[in-house]
Amino acid sequence: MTDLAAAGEPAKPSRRAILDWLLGLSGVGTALAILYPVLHFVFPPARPKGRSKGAVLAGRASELPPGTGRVFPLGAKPAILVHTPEGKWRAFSARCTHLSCTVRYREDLGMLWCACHDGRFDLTGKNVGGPPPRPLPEHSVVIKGDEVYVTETELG
Amino acid sequence: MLRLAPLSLIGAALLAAPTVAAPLAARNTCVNCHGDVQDEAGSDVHRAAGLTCVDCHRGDPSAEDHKSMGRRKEFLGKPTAWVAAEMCGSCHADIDRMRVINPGLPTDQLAQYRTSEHGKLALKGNKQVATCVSCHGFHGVKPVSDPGSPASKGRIVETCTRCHNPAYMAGGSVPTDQLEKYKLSVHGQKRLRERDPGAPACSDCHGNHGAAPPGVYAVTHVCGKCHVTQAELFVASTHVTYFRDGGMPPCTTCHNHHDILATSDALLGTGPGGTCATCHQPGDRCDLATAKMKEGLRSLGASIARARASLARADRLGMDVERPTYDLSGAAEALVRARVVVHTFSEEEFDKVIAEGVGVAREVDKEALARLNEYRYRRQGLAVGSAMLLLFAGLLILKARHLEKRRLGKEP
Amino acid sequence: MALERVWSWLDERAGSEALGHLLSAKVVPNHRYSFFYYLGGMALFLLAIQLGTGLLLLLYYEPGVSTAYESVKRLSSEIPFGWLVRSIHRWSADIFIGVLALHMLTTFFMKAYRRPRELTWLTGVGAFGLALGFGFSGYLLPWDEIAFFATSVGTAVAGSMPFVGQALLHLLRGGEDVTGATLARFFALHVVVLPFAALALLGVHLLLVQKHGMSVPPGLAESGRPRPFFPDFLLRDLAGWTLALALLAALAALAPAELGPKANPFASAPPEIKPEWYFYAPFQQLKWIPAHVGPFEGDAVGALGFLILGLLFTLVPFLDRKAARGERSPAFTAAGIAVFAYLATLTCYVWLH
Repeated sequence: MTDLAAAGEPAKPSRRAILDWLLGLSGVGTALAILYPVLHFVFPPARPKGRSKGAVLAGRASELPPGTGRVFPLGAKPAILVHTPEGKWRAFSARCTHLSCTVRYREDLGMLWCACHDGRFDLTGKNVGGPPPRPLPEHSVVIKGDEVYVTETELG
Repeated sequence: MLRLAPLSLIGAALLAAPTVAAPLAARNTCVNCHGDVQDEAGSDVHRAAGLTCVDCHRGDPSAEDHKSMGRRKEFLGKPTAWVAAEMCGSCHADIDRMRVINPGLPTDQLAQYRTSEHGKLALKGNKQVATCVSCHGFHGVKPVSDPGSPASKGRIVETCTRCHNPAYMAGGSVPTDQLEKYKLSVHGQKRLRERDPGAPACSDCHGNHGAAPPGVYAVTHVCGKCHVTQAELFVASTHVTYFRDGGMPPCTTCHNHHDILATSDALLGTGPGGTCATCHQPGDRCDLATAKMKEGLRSLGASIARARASLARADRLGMDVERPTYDLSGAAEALVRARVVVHTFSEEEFDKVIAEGVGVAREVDKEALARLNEYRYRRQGLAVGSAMLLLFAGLLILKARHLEKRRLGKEP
Repeated sequence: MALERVWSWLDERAGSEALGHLLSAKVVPNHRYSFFYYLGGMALFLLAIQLGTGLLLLLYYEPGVSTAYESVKRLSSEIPFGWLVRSIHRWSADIFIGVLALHMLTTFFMKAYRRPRELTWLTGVGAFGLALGFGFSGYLLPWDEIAFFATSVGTAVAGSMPFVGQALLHLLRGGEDVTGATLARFFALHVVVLPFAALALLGVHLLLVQKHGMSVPPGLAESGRPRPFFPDFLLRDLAGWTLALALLAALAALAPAELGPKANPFASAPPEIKPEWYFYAPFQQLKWIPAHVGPFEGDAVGALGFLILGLLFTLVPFLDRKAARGERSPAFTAAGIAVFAYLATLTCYVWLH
């Protein structure tokens, strides 16, 4: 520590002390400003958002008995999960290939139906009635216990 | 001239006699003079099946001169409408024969034709009316699924309007403005401009072999083939009996038949373009109801637009708007559904759908706002953090300056 | 004081007193262009930021065609302050390359490359090349549309080089086209290969800088005594770094990194596709070269041209004989200005269109 009381030193020793003190404080403040976001970042978020490796939680098997279907969001687009009467799980894009209305599962018809112009798709996604020109793109389904996941990438 | 009278007799006689699809004749003298027809035939389906000139036109394929076309050879020449139908029908209406040749083809064409407007006129002897060959071609017949066939989805409008136009059918009792109107319609735009085979053209509503305008009260069934919900709702509504009692066909009274234009909210009510004005007076109970409905549609549209704008703003600022965008499509669907529910003529049903849509739009707007708030929170956090960093930087400079002054002050 | 006791403890075990002497002896010359001495340290700071934010991103990023995009999306929307870390990483990459280019330019014009600092120059140019590699490889990792097509275009340009072009293209892409294989090797490059190479080159570079000290342009008068590095210059360095951090945070909050739609290899490239800004100049020049120059392919000529330019630039310490003797070399200054003006004009042109 150098001698402060040398000749020529301004007679305000406290100025240096204040400066050091402020510097130390703002240094700690800066360190905290950096540490706060980093710590929050590093500890993973509490709730799993129903998304794992490019698949979306479409529904629960216990809530969808055979012969039922459910429209759900896949990204920003509607998709439909169907539990066929034979017990198979299938998922398709729910955007009708005619004019993009959202299709639904009709239990009475046993097929996917579009309300806009009576378009019909069978449970393989093939367009079998009405104006739709193409089948519905299919997505694969993965079952994990009671949770049914649907992948975001289309099959084939 | 001489031959025409007995021709129909001959035609009738031929129908009774089973003609076998003969193997290719050793000699086919027809083409010596009518060589151009052979070129026209090309990939004709009948030719591919082994049929030749005589199988339809009769006559003698081995004779070298005009005796090939003589009366005694039962020659048909260029048949008139009804004769042609029966000629084609001699095979195509014969179930046993068609089962062997092509079991997938229907065999009711001739029977249907008999009931159609075209058929009825042909039976009376009209020579200008449409018959099988008018739409399917004669020497170059292709299956209807082939886009080259005049009866295919892509060409049917062109085929029907070959006769149904102002020049050919002027002066008759049948209107001649169908194509002009159809071109203006949504179906016409989709079929002709966008080549969408899903949109209906002439035969989808009028039928093909049994072509006739649908009966006045059968229109709902025809339109309802695609527009199922609207038809069902209308038939269950209060207005179905009023239309019937007033002799007004459903669907087409408000929407027209050939010039079915794109719908708009202006169709509702008694204002300009309003179809209710046909029966209703401005200011009556129903008119007031439709005014409220229009307001409902406008307000739902406005809620959706507002939510969409908020989402766009949040998106531009880099926030994640995927889920609310999806949810908003629910409100857009409600708007479409509201316009369908108009056909119930029930304020209560309509208001329910509007309320649902507005609710969704409001939720989405709230979500968008939450994201904008998050952005603002980030900006505030940034302000605080920056202030701290700037203060620290400033103090560092001050400290450096201070140390330098001290160092320079001490040195000579 | 407690600090002194810690210091002597360290010295007994690690010989830190020697290091302390070295540091206290380090000085920074004072002259008209002294301000540019901050650039090297700034580049180092930004590299540290990249390493730090990159490490944080690695905690959540999952490479692979079915997971990369989704993990980046998750980072931007779900992970707390994920948007901040990602955006800082993105902005800092651009600013880092900009500062590096400036550092390279100023050392060029100050002739700091001259004897005995040729190796310092070579390692520095090598590090700059690595930085461009960092930028190019990192750009693909989010696997969105723009990333995919920019990489396709960029690797295609590499493929147009004469003789080695095709081999280089296959090496970079891991195949004929840009696929998951490309993503895998770009990830390895970005996270392992380039960082090791950069640390090695940088290590040598910094050691040489400490050995030779700061260079003063030939013929330039110094004003006043040199400034001690520790603590004067270092404090000012720190202040600059703090300001840089504030700038990065502001950019991250006000102009966050974008993520377009997920890459679809079957879609056609958007017509306005461009690489990152530091590749604008060669990109535009290649567009302007006619398809054939004499008997040669236009693209090959262009690529070769830039290669030769780069080589000349790298070898400048050995070409500039005057500077090696300690004299002024206005010819090289002029040449430098010309090339810089050419590159800057091309870059601005692309930026404005």
